[in-house]
Amino acid sequence: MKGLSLFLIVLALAPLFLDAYWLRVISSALFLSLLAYAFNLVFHYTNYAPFGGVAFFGLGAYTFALSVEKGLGYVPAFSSSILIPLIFALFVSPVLMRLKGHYFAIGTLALQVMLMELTESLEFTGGTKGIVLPLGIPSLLSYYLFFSLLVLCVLCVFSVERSRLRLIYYMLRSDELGARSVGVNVVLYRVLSLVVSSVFLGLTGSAFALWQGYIDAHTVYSPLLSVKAFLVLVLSSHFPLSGPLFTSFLLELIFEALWSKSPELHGLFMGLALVLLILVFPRGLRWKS
Amino acid sequence: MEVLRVEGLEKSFGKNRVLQGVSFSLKAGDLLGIIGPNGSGKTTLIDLISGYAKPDGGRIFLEGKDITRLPAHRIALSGIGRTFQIPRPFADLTVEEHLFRLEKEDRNKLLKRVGLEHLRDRKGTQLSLGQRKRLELARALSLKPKVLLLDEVFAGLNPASTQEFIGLIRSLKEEGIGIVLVEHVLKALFALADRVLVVAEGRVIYEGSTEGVHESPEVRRAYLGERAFES
Repeated sequence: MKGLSLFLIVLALAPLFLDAYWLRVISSALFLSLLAYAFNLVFHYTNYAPFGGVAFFGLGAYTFALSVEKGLGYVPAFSSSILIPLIFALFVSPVLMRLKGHYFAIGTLALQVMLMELTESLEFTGGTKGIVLPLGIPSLLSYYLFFSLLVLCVLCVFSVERSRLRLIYYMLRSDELGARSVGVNVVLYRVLSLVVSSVFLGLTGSAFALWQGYIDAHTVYSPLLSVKAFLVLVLSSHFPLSGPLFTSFLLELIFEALWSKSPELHGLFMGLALVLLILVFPRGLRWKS
Repeated sequence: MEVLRVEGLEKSFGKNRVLQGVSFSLKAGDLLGIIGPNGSGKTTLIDLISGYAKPDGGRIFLEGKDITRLPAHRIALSGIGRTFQIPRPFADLTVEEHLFRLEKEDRNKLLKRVGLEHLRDRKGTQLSLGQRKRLELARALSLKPKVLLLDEVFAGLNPASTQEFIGLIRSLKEEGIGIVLVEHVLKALFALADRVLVVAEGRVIYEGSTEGVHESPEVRRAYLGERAFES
């Protein structure tokens, strides 16, 4: 906890000492950690793997970009980027959360692909051309937007870990039948985790759209985003509070180093690095929390 | 006072008719022992009462209220606690955390009662079989149930633990909890039961006193075997 607090303070002050290049690198790490935290609300607490969770991220990004494009202003745009993924999650989760194991993972993937195809085929979403946001914002503002969302995520996980909710979620992920026998409404708590996760993913989507200034379906519904976020979770599964943040930074720095050394072959090296990490740490990274 | 009534329960899995019109009632403070050969439908009966599976026919009443179609968690909260044949402690929770529904004082009392107060900080998965069974009983009791469904709670216990459990279950009866005990350890069951139900191939073939079941030639011949009563 001390290490996490210290790291958050360092992150809050970091832009004072960073140039534009490192600000972008650290922003990328913050972005990855946001995806990981949001995915972990489902993965860690229900033992369900939302492989297609970027469906809610993409939905948030598009809702925000379309709202800004229509001249709604940032506050209504942010609000709608929470509301639409939330409503969508409420709509699909009663069915989705009744699926078990791999079927759930496939179900979320189906949502992701469906939304990607739909976004590309509709005219008002910009089709395959995507959407350019009318106004960009300074990269420093984007950084602090990601940082604020990160603090929100950490506070959310912290409050779950310190409340009775942690016990309830650990019960239902350990043994569904046992949890029911002590009066836990398993489906309700699973739906709650997906809905809260979708809110964070929607907000992260809007922050991403602002940061990039341009979005298209292949970027915001990209399976690569899920793969990277899940790699973070697999490596940090023992530490729901600090794990996604530290591991995201570690991975993002590795990716960046590989990319800067060898832009042509960095994809190959990245793959090798991932295989090595999983081979060396098959049970995830561990540190003193 | 009647706490649980089961009327004509039917359940099939495919073509296999597991329960065929099973009925019984249970009074507060009574213990109904259910025996029968493996595969006779005893655990299915417990699963239906606790809402883990839904019957194809028949109804279940708790204190006169129809609970047949309620989901399992609502049935648990209504006052039906259960244990499982193989105890299933929650992997990441300490013994004390399993009793999260109770206030600190009540948790302490219950842990002391089941003999786990010295293991309160240990993870449930680090317990021995006997301790796991105590924990599971405590977990069911943390619901402050009106009815307890115990599925082979004596299986695998040593003689000393068996005697302790008999004493514990007796005290629960005295508090007015109605208990359904599915059991293969017949000595323990006969020491506790007020009435016995014998189930075979999904049907009730005997319902009555513990003395009567000894004398039932049909039960003796078909389901328990002669040697079960020799001692």
